[in-house]
Order: sequence, then C-alpha cells, then structure tokens
Amino acid sequence: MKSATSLKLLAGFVALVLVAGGATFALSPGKNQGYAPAQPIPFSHQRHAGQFNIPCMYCHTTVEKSRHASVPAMNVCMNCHRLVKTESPYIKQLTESYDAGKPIPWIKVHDLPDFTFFNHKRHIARGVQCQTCHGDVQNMERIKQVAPLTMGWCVNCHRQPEYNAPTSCDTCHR
Amino acid sequence: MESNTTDTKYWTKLSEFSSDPTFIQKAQGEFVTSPLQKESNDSTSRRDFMKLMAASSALASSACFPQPFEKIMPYVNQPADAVNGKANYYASTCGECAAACGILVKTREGRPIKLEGNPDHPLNRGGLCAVGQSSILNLYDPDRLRNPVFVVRGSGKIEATDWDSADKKALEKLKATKSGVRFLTGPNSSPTRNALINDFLGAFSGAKHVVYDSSGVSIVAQGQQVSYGTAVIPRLRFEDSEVILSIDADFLGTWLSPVEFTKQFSKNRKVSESSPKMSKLICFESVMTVTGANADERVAIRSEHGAAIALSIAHELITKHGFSAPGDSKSIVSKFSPASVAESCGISADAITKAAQSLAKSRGKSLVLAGSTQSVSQNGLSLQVAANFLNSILGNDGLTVDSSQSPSQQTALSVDDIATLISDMKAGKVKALLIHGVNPAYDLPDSLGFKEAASKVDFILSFSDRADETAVLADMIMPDNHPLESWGDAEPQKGVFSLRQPTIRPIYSTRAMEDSLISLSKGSKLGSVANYHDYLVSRWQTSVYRQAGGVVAFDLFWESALRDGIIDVAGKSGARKRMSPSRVFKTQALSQVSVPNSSEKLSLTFYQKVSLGTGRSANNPWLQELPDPLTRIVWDNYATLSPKTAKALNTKEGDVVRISTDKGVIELPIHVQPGMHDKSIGVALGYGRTHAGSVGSGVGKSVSHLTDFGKAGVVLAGIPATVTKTGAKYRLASAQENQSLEGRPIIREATLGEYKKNPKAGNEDHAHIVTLWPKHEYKGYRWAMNIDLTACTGCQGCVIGCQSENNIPVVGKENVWRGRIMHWIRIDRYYSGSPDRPQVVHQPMLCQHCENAPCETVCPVLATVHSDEGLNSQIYNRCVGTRYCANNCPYKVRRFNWFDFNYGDQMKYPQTLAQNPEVSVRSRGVMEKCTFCVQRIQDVKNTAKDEGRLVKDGEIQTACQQSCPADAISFGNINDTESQVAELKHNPRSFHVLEELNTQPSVTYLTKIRNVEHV
Repeated sequence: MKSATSLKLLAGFVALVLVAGGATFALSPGKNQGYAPAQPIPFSHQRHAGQFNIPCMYCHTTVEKSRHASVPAMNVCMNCHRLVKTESPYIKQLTESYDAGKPIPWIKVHDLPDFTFFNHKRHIARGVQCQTCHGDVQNMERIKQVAPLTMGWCVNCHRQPEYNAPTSCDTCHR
Repeated sequence: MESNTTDTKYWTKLSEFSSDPTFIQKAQGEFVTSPLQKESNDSTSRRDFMKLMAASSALASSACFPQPFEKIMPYVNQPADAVNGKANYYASTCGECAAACGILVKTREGRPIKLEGNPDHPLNRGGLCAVGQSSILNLYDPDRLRNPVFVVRGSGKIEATDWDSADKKALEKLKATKSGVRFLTGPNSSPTRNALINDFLGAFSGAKHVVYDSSGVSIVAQGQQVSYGTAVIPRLRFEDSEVILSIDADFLGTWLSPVEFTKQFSKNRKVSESSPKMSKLICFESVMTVTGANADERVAIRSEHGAAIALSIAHELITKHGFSAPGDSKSIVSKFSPASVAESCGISADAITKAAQSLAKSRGKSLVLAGSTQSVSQNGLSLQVAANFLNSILGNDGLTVDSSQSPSQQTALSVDDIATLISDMKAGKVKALLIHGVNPAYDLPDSLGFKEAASKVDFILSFSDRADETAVLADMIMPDNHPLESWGDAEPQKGVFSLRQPTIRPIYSTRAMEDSLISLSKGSKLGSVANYHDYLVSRWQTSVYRQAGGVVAFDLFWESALRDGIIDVAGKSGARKRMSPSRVFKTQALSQVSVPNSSEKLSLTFYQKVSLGTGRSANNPWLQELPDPLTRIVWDNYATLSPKTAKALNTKEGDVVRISTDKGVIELPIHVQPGMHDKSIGVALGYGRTHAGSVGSGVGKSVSHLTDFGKAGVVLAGIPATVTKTGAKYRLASAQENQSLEGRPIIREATLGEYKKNPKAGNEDHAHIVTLWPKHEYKGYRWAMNIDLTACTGCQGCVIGCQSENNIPVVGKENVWRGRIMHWIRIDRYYSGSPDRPQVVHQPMLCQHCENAPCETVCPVLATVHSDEGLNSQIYNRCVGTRYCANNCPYKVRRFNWFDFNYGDQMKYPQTLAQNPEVSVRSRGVMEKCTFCVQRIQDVKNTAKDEGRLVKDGEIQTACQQSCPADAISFGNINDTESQVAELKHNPRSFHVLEELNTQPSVTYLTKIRNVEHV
C-alpha cells in the first residue's frame, strides 16, 4: 500500500517536472538562435556582400529612413540581373517571377515578436554596425540568425552607460 | 485636507439622483460579471467556462513551439515614394455627407489606415466627426458587393456577373428606353458629379435628376424661398455671433456641417482671464441633443411648437425692446404673446422673455437657427420662416447669415420631386430608374409606396455598394467604389473646392458610379471621355482653374490641388468674410404660422444620433458601439421619455412601450431622459435596417411605417401619438452603467459672472496632501495633457479617433452591458440640477498617467510601469491579466480583454487591414488603456532627433487631440515652461480629478464655465 502511494506520488512528481520543464523550454525565448532556413532562391550574401563588396544599403534601402530595413524590391535585383548571370536557373526563376509580377516569398529569419517595435533607423543613426546584430553576413552563404535577439540581449547594450540608450519599456513595447 | 465637496449635486442617471439601492449595488463592481458568475441572462455557466479554458490552454500550448514561420513579400517594383514603415498622407475629401470635410488619408504600405481632418481646409480646419473618421472601416467592409450583380425581381436574389455582361445588359435596356429616365440621388455637393449626371441624362429626352434628402435639410432652403424668394442654404457665421438661438437645430451634432460649426462655435467659448467673454447659446429643443447639452439655457419643447415660440420671441423684441417690425408683421406677431404661447406649449414664459432679452443686446451679432430632422413637423416650414423673421428683425441677415457671398451648396431644393417621382413611377411614366447614394425603400415613409411603385418600373439600376433595401428591388447593381477609392470633388460652400483622390485601388471588383455612367453613354458625347478622372480634370480646367485666377500653368495648379486637397476661392477673394446685403423679408410668409393649441396626445419626434444619423453606415461596428453622447446607450434605438411621463405610465428604464400613431404602431424599450418635454417622445432614426449587412441588420427598429409625407416633405417630428405599457422588458446596453461619483467633486464648474469676479470660482478648494512617495525625476520631456471642459461639446469624435489609431476592438452589445466596452477614452456625461431641467457636463476620461499611479504599485509582474517621460506604460507582453490594476484605478480607465475581440466575428478580414501597424493588437487576457499615443510621441521624437533638436510645442498631437473639432485638448511637454500645457496647468481654472487621492495625474481639466447670467 505504502509503496504504491509513493509510486503514485513519484509518478505525479515526474509528470509535473516534465510538464513544467517542457513549458519552460517551450516558452523560453531565444531558441531561434542559429535559425537558417532554406530560401526559395538560395541567395548568397557571401557572394554579394562579401565577394563583390556591395554595400548593405544598396539593397536594404530603407534602413536609414524607417524602422524597417526592408528586403529589396525585385526591381533592385533586376538592376543587375537583367544582364548578369542570366543563364543561371535561379536567375531565370527570378526573372520569370519578376516578369509575371509575382514577388519571391522569402522566409523571414530575424523575426521579432509582434509586440516589439525595433527601429533600424535609430541604431544606424548611432553608428551601430549591421554585423553587431546580424553577424558576419558578408561571410554567410545562407542567412542565419546569429544573435539570440532576446530582450535580455537587447537590454544588455541599452544599459551600458556609454550608449545612453533608453530603457523605458515603451521604447520597444506599445 | 480641506473640504472638497461642491454645492452642485451631479448624477449620471435617475436612479443615482434618487439614491436607488440597485444603482448603488451596481456601482460597486466595475466589470459587472465575471465569466464564473451565473447570471439570469448570462448563458455562460461555470462548466462552459472550464471547457473554454481547456480549449484555450490546448490552443496556447500548440502555439508555443516552434516559432511560427513568416514570409516577407517584397515589392516587385517599388513605388518611388513608398518607404516600408513610413506613412504617406494624401489630401482628399470625406464622402460621408454633403458637408464634404477635407481629410488627410494616412496610408501605410498602400492601404489607408486612418482619416484625419485636413488642417488646411477652411471649413473643418483639421477636425473630423465620428462618422467621417469611422468611414475607413466602411472601405474594408466585408459585406460590400464584390462584383456587379443581377437581381431577380420579386425575390431579391442576387446573381454575380462581370462588368462586360452588366454593361451589355444595361446598355440594351437603356437603348430601349428613350424617354422616362430618372436619376435619383441624395444631396450632393460635387459640381462635377452633378455636371456628369446632367451630361448623361442629356442623351435621353425628358430625363430628370431627382434629389432626395433623408436628413431634412432641404426644409432650410424651402424656408428661405418662402421668406426671401430664393432657395438657398446660407452660410452661418458662428464666429461673429454673441448670442445663438437654436430651435431644434442640432448644429454641434448632426445638422448641416457640424465640424465646421463646432470649430467656429468653440472659438467663442474659450474663456481666459485676459478675455473673460464667451458666446451664449440658447436652445429650445424637443429631444436632448449635443447642442442642447452645451446650451447655457435649454428649454424642452414639443417639436411642433417651435414656430410659435420663435414668433413670441419676436413679439417680445418688437413690443418690449423696440425692434422695428417690417410691413404688417406687427399685427401678425401680436397673436403670439409670451404668456399665451408659453401656456399652450407647456413651457415657462420666463424662458421666452429671457431669450428675447439676450438677443436684444446683440443686434447684428446673433444667430437664430432651426432645422434638424426633429424640427421637421407639419409646422417645420413655419418654424423656418419664423427663424428667418427673427434673423431679419435682429439685423443678422447679411452679417451672421450669409446668403450670397459663400452660401452652402449642400442643396436639395426640389422637395416635391420625390413625391412626383413616385406618382410617375406608379403611373408607369418612369421606364428606367437609376439610384445612387440613397435608400428610399428604407427611409421614405412606407405610405408613399416606393416598393410598389418600383415594381412598375421597367428597369432599375442601383449603384449601391451593397444589396441594401432599395438595391434588392432593382434589376442590376453596379457597386460604386468607396470614396477612398474614387476621384471626385465637392463644393460644400460657394468658392470652396475640395478635391477627392483615390488612396487605394478598388479592393473588390467595383467601379465608380461616374465611370459606370461613362460606360453606359457609348455613342453619345460623354461616351468619348476615357474615364471620370479625365472628365474631372477637364472640368476643373474650365471651371475651378478659371475661378481661382489661373496664375500658374494648369498642370502646376492641378498638382497643388492634389497636394493640398483644397482650392479656397472664397477665402482668397475675401468672400467668406464679406457682408452681403440684407434681404427684404416677405411678411406674408408669416401668415402660415398658427397659434398652437395644446393637445392631450404626446408628440413623437424622430431624431438623428451622432453615430448613425439616418442609418447609411449602419453596418459600421465602430458607429454601432459609439455611445450616444447623452443616453450613453449603444447598439439600439429606444423611446426617450421625460421622468414625469415615464412615471405616469408606470414605466421604468427598459420597459417596452407601445407607441401608436395614425399610421401605425411601434414597440420600443424606453430610456428615461431627463430634460425631455413631458409631452414629447424621441426615437432615433437609422435603426432597424434589414439589408445593411452582418453587423447592422436587425439592430434596433425602423420607423418608416410611422412617418408621413406633408406639404414640406417628409414629416419626421411632432407626430401625435399615444403610449401604453406592454409589460415586456428589454435590456439596453449603456456605456455608463457602472460608474458612480459617490458625491466626489469630479466636475468643477462656475458661471461666467462668478468667473469674472474670481477666476478660481468653483475651483477654490484643493487638497493639500503630504506624500510618502519619492518624486519621479524627469531629465528630458514629461508629457501632460489638458482638457477644457467648457470647450468640449461631447461630440464623440475623439472616441473614434482613438479607436482607429489604437486598434481598439468592438465587443458587441452583451459585452457592453457586462461592462467590457474597450474605448480608451470615454466621454462621461453628468447631469446636475433637477431631472426636469438638467444641466449637462461632458468629461472626456482617459488614463490620467498619474505620478503616483495606484495601478503601478499593485501589478505583481511589473506590466504597468512609469516611464522616464511621465507615461504610465502598459506592457502587454508582460501582463498576465490579474486585473489588480483595474481594481485599483480610481478613474476606471483600464480595459480588460475578456476575449480575443480583435480576432473574432467583430473584426473580419478585410477589416483587419484598417489596423495601425504601429500599435500591438492585444489578445485575450491582457489589460490595456490609453498610452498618450506613445507611437506618435516616438514618431515625432525620432524626427526631432534626426534634425538634432528637441520636440517643439504642439508638434505631437495625440489622436484625440487631433480629431477634436472644438480644440478642447492640449498636449505637450510640461517640463518646458513655455509650453501650452505648462501654461494651462497654472491656469486658475485648472484642476485634477480626485486630487485628494494624491495620484497627481498628468491630465488636468479646466473648469466648466456657463454663460447663464442675464446682464
């Protein structure tokens, strides 16, 4: 009798630990670190930004103007690829899609929650390098989330006295 | 602490006035029911709740992992001025009514998300009413027709088709009809649209354009015709008026051009120590309206008595105050002595003599108005004549009443046309009927027989955006675009040209009515025009461009018109300010006015609510859930009765009564409305739609079976009626059910005379409290707001402005009576004085952003915290929904998401496209409240940072402040001693609500000043 009760208790305890642990893991932020999904076209930042040294802002045009950096409009791709490497199957895919007026459905890699309002422009204006948050993009064949992009990670910088950055909640949450 | 009680006793409803125990019990709980509580009317039992919880936890756990995967769709070709995350603004013109206010359309990534008044527009000057602002939701209405349809006559069944087949069939039908074509529209201030309709009808012999106006405005023009010989709607100069007498003209709420009027009116209601002056508003009205609520003197009357009362005021002016009477008017007026009129009207003679005294002192500087739907009784035309007579003898004509320099163009002149049209239809003379912008099957009196007449017309083509009551009687519907998808223009006043431009491509396969007319004109001259845009440009070139002087090249002129949205010829030429010659009043017009006899019957009057008006936008959930400024009731119409009459009938709030007239019967719940005449009943128009859509159909009751057609048009007021109790009960949902003042001095007020003697009048007692809390330190900005209770009219514009800006959901009627309405700003209405003649105060109430915020100290998870700029921030992602904060908030401004209001039936795609991407969409279980529009603060701060400067005073406008047509709200940095808010904070009229609690709010109010003295 006694051992059966303690067995039940033990089983209950184990179940509780499993549920609590599972929930803690599931709800823990920052698990997207290292996320590097395959994109519909295997666009290489290593080739464009690294090898050819194209400035980030040639494509991500609104990063200085708005809170979004923006994935470039397809006409930006076509500026070069009307002439460059037109025989590549991927460029053919791109051209076909462009001519048909259909956008390429890129997979979002750096995805902040909808209740977080990050502003690219403010960070660029303060001279923060793209690589600080996005990693060495110029060496990435496929884009990967390097930083954890958690609130703790954001606040770590914001709290440094030398940056004089705001730490009010409504800076990012509203 | 000093005593804080004031002499005036305020109350929110009659049960509070009489200290009814049920009221006190109700006032104890902010949220009436919890989902755990079983209520008589409440079908959610505890077991249901557990099921709900189980389902939602399953949902929650399934959503945890992995992170949802999102796509980024880039532009294919990025438009030149499109920057992701930056709003573009386009100047355009509101299409909700003929007042045609100028608007700025805020678009994000190509979709309009908010409408604001255009500050450069000379009439509405940045303000926009609740209806105008909420029309953004009509654009995304899921119940709009998505393509042209054929309608099966008789059954009203609709069959989808395409534009080519629709055009082909309509052309066939029209070609077969050479004569007998009629075009029925509503009042319309667009000169180009009217010209196009004329061109279109030119191809048919004997075709007619019939204008029908359901809001009763045309009676103003008729009255002018009878009084002066010209049918015109004059421009009214409230700015130049010291005394305003309104007899059933709800000019601050629903009449003619309420935003323009409020802008002008409130200018003379700003009292300061340097200029302790304000205009005086006297109101005689048959239902309680926003205008009456703002009146310094208000007298409840029966609608049909307005004309006699006006003439008795004239009698006083002529006999006592020495005003000259033209022609034989003196003898006509002599029948209307105040004593006799007052007796037969059941009002006090004192009210009449006092009104005359006030008017007598302002010769040429006063204004007499009459004319909302509630004035349109059988005597409606007489009332117009009498009001014109008063303006003439007071010398106002030509000064405050401008009939020729820049009169209103919201004309709907030929009144008997609709009756003629219907008799022509019945006689089979009408072969083809085209209908745009009106819904006669819903709002014309049933006795006119529109439905029967429609069955005799060979071909009916409707341009309605939905299969409404009238459109289902047609053969075909060619759905019109929403105004935000269309080109167009308006000339609401002579010489004020407002341009409309599309801000989004048509969402559905719809087409502008004008473009439909062009396609239906193949073969004629109009058919050669490419589209309405070209037609509009060429007409502006020949007309507006020439009137504007044509200094620059037309291309540049057109570009500037598109940019500014407005060409103000009347302002440039000075016509708007110029006096016009006073006209000769035709005294024989007065002979129409008869002395009223007192009747035993009650007088039934239909009025327009600020929200729904005549019911055009009944499918707009924001408007359905917009509390009435006086009754605070949502989602219903009801019969308003005076407390005495309700008592005599042995009825209480919510009891259903049967109202019988000669025409028919209607059963409605009653609302006991303080300040109604004992012999008057008010019922709102615009309800009981059957074909409005999924939101508006079946809400409230329609009254078209009770209205009638008289000699001056549709009779909407003063209908003799009897009322009996049915014994049934009905639950009305009020947004001000659960709050009580508990005798605290939440409102502070004084009369103008008291204020002149002592600027602190009514506001002398302040709490002196020692605090234990450390003070917050502010190194930079500290945001604060000031609200002038004297200027605020209670129009509810800010409520919709806030709702649109901050993604505030609609909760539905049941949730409103459970106290779950979500508005972040509400306009509390308080009565004072006796229930027979109450005074009204409107108080906008929003998060006070307290220095010592009671909510902050009780949050167990720090979801509500103080920012370093004085904001009380609510962090949704941290909130776990304990609701401790709402319990501890003395202002009751925190709103809790009991359900996923923003995702369910209340917000269907594509309505979600109207949401502001700069504000989180809150989900279930989260507390929310006013943020002082923190997204706007940050936007301006960003701009200032880019330019390396500080934010300028007045640069940040919160959504409520921006929309306020009375300019009652100021916002800014109180740490800047030069700022407007800092100055207003030290104004002797300034006070905090519940300051004895030492919450130290960032919102200050200015005392309400009433101009009640007779000097």
